[in-house]
Amino acid sequence: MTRREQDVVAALAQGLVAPVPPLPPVGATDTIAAFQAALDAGPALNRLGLRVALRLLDRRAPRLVGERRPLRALEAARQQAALAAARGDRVLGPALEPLRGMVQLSYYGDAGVLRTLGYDPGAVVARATEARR
Amino acid sequence: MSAAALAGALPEPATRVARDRAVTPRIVRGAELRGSRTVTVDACVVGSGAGGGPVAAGLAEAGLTVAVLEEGDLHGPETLTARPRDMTTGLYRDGGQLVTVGTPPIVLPLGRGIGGTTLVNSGTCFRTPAPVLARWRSEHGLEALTDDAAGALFRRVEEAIGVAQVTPELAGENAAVVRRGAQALGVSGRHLFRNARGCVGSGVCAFGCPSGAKQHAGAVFAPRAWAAGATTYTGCRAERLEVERGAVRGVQARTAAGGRLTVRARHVVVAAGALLTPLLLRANGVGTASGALGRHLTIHPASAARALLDEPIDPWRGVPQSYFVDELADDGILLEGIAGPPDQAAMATPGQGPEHRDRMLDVARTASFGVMVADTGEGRVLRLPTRPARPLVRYDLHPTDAERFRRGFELLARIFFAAGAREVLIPLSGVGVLRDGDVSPLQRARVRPRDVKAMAFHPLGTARAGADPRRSVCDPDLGVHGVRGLHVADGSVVPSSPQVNPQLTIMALATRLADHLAAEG
Repeated sequence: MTRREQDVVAALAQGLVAPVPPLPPVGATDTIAAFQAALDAGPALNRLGLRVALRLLDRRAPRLVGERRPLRALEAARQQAALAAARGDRVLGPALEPLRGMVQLSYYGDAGVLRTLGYDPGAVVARATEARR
Repeated sequence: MSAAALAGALPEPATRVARDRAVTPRIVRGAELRGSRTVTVDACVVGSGAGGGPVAAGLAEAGLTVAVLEEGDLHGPETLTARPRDMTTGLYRDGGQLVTVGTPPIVLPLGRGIGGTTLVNSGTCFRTPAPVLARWRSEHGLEALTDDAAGALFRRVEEAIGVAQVTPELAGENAAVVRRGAQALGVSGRHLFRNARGCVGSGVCAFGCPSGAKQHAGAVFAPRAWAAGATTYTGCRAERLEVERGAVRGVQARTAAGGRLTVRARHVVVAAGALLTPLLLRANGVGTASGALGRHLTIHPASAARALLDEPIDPWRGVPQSYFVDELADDGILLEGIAGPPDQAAMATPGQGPEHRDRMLDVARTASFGVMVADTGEGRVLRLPTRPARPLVRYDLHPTDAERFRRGFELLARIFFAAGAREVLIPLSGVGVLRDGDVSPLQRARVRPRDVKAMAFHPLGTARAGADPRRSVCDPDLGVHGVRGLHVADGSVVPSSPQVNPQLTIMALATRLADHLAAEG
């Protein structure tokens, strides 16, 4: 992803996850790297479609709530409002849907987020390793 | 069980509970194979999942030399991290991003690695129900699949993969909630049978079992094949079948390093799964005469509801798919458990922004359970004009099945409320959240296919078997009509939806094929 695309993913995460304590801010997680890994794992056609969707949402979602700035330049509350409006939009809604799942998975799969919600994969692996012996 | 549709579907528990001794893998990595290389064997098996695994093991143990071509890699339990997000990119084909084209779009996750989709399935085991076998005999001419003959095959498979019923202790609180609700309503349900030995309830079956307890095809049949001398070529994608004068001669594969591997063999068994097998056959102009190749696709569409409870249930503890409700099975509706860690729940939780976040903050006290329907309609698999070839899956949910989802969710919501749920979240557009035990919004709803948020895990039927070559791709012994030595052994050959999770069905059919080919020598 380009720097700009990374910024759009961060904006999407901010708008779609809307983290507040005890959840860590998006910047304190590995959301962007995980999204990149998911993008790399998919076929080229999906990759192309998702990148087009990123750019489309960055430019057009804010207009639905009267903003002229791109999504990545908005403050958190406006990002949430723009994406909420995009969800019901005939064109932007279908573009947002696949990104929604990927972004939420990328954020909630962060090790710190998992621990915050009570899941400790390290403990699962340790118990599994013991069971294999 | 109360459902006549599932008669004969419950497995018999395996008698042997210990795991097999570790076998040194006989693997040649395609990532290191450059240039051209040719090997000659008796049998080449394309794919190592529920179909390819048993065939390769059976043929190798019968004394045939066997080469297995597998596009993915070996994923041993020591490499698995219990983190769904990260495992999805490594263990699933296309990073889990395969989606059908149609109404609604349906995510169709498939495994990629030694073991195929069994590496990432929930491990649920059902035999093919007797009424389904009867239809296959009467409508498709699979007359050799009598209840007795099929029963003997199922027993062998169940013993091999350690099938056992989940205990209440391992089932986890997520299942306990539904069990409690079902019992309160007098609804028929029970713990599922699974292929696991020494399970400790890691809760991540669908993302690779880190304890090695799940007895998937790569953990059971691949080691048996290796012990009998077979070799698995990982990172190798079969691209061309060599067919001369009506008989198969071998397979050409592209390696991950850009090389070419040619396997000359008198038996070729294609077991690449119901989406890729038809592409491989069609690309080589075989199996096309009936017009059935790539058609008659069934997928068992599934969706899941979520219920907020007062007490923590930690849905990631215990076996994620450990209980089922068959109350509506006669109408093609099965309720089966589905649960997992928070990142998996994030994808399954509808909504966005503060609404989604607040639900995620309650994830530890949120139960989830699935509704799976037997397809009324059919889809088809087409080839995308890409290199390598990729499947384009056309599938439209039938309106009858949309109504089945409504009925399934209505029963599930009643079960959740009977178990004490405060609210139930239904993934059907226009229904949303149910509260205070009120399921009337679901009763009133007119659910259209586009209103359903679905996934599917069981693609079947795209090279179906049958006695009539005008209606089928493979004969009853799974040989491709008109091509000597070429067979198919995966979900493609299943003639119609078995209405239950299909791994035992596929393994039994593959075991029968191995017997048949071994007898030929």
